[in-house]
Amino acid sequence: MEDELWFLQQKYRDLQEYRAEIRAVWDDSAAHELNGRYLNPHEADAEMMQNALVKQLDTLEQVNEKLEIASKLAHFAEKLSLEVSQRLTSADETLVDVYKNLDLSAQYNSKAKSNIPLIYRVIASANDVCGDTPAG
Amino acid sequence: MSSYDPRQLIIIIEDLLDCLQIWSSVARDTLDEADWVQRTTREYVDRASHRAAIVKSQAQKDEQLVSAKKSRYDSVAAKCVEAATETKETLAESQKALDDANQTYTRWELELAEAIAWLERAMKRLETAEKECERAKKAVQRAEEEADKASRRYNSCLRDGDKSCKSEKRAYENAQADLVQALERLKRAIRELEAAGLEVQRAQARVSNCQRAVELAEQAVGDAQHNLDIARQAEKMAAISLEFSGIVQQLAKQAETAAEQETSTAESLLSIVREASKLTDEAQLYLSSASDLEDSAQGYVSSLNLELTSRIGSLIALNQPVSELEAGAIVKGIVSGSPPRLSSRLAHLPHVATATDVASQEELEQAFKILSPVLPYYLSSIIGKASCEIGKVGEQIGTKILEDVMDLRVVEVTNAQGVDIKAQDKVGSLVAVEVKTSMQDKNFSQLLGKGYGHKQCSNGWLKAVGVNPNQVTVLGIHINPQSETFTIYQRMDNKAKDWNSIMSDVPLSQFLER
Repeated sequence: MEDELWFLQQKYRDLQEYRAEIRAVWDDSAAHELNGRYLNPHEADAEMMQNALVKQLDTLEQVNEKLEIASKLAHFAEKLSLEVSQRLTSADETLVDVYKNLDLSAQYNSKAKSNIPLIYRVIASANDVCGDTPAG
Repeated sequence: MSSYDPRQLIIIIEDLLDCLQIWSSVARDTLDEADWVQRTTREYVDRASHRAAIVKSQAQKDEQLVSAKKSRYDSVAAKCVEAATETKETLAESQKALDDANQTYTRWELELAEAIAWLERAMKRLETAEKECERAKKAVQRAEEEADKASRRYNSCLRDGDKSCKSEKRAYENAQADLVQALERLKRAIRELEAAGLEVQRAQARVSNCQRAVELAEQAVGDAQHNLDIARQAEKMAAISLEFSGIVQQLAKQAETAAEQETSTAESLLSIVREASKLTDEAQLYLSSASDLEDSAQGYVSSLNLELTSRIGSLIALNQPVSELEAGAIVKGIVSGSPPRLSSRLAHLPHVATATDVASQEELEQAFKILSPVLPYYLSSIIGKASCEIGKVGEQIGTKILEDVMDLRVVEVTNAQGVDIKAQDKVGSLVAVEVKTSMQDKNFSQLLGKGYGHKQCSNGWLKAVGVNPNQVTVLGIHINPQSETFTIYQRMDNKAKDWNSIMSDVPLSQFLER
């Protein structure tokens, strides 16, 4: 669009320059009438139109800059999302080991706890064996 | 207006109209382009907005997921801590059981040693008692024998009667007393023997029980040691699970940080997309304003066009008698070979006017008649130099061709740019001739594109011969200097981009002979 706008500005300048050029050779009342009724308003509208297009172009350039930033941000956010997913997957995989060891620990602990009374029972038996036979 | 030359005014007005038409066309194209860019940008913004919404939604989902997972991981971590505490307690209890078992074992080891010592003492006592008993028995036997002897001697003495039996009596009494003592001793020895036997039995029972106690204590120690190993294993597993749980929490923390960053990024993204959308709306306002102004300006161009066309008609009418005379001279000039004149009414001449978009063979022949003087010039001055600048050729050489080659008077040509020649030496074979003859040729520049066909030239070979403003025959001539041939193309209609070859590989010599 920049090229087109530049080309339009060129053609606008060509037109205005040509108008200035022919003013030297054609400057009668008819020329004044045509300038006043058509060419001068046309010049004003055309200039304002160009200005509006320049503003549009400037604004759209700002939009493009923002879109570029937006694209980078979106890409970054997607990368972070992937990182979240990867971290959670790793955490879940590690959690399997946690459960596995926790279960084994519970089993061993339960067994150890249940064995303790049995050990004391054997100790008690050992102590009871000589109950009716006093030492000499 | 009467103070000006009508023909000069016609040229001025026509050029002014050309300038306006060019501006009009370029303005329309620019607005179309601006509209397209605006729509495209809007589409990009919409896409970015959609993407931002997806990113935001994903960020929310990730945050919720991380929160849920983190809660679960914390719960598991608490279980791991609890398990670690419990296993430590169990380990301590197991250690205590082992200590108690070891203590019991040690105690009963000592008890057993004491019992064995006691048994040994009891056995010695029994042995002593047995010996004493034997000795007591022998003493009783001897005392009985002594008493028996003393008794017999005393009884014998008594039977004799005359003797004093005092000494026998005393001996008998002493023997009896010794016997009593021996019997007492034996009695005591037997009691001791019985007691010693009982003690041996008790000691043996003690030893046996102590041995059993030691065995049981030994078993308790073994069991306790094994249990301690189990408790240690439980503690180790709990510690490992706690360590893994720590890793899980660390990963969850990293995920949480990433999710927070993702949310923050998504919010920034939404914000910047909103700004972009707002700016696009703003740009749309500028475009709308430009479009309104363009409509207004185009309106002035249209009105001016009508006005100026009307004035040109008036000027032509004013100049009519002169033109007709010149027209006759032109016809005569072409036929006789004398320098002809071109005028604004050239379009009405039979050899350049065409009734349709597609030229007839006869019309082409007429066109070649015009072109034939141009090409030798071109070949010698342009291809010969192997250098030519597009655009300038048409401007500078076009007039030169009219004057020097075609021997036409420029002052009579309706347009100062009446003949354009364009070439492109980079492709080595382009010849482009454009004859533009009428100031009423308002569509001619559009037909050839912006800038009088410069863009069309860029594809290598295109060229055109336009001879009538409203009914244009467009020809392209492609010369190949290497083979010294040329090909004539004709555009099928004014707006089409396809070119049709109508004469192929014609030797240049043949053309030059024309």
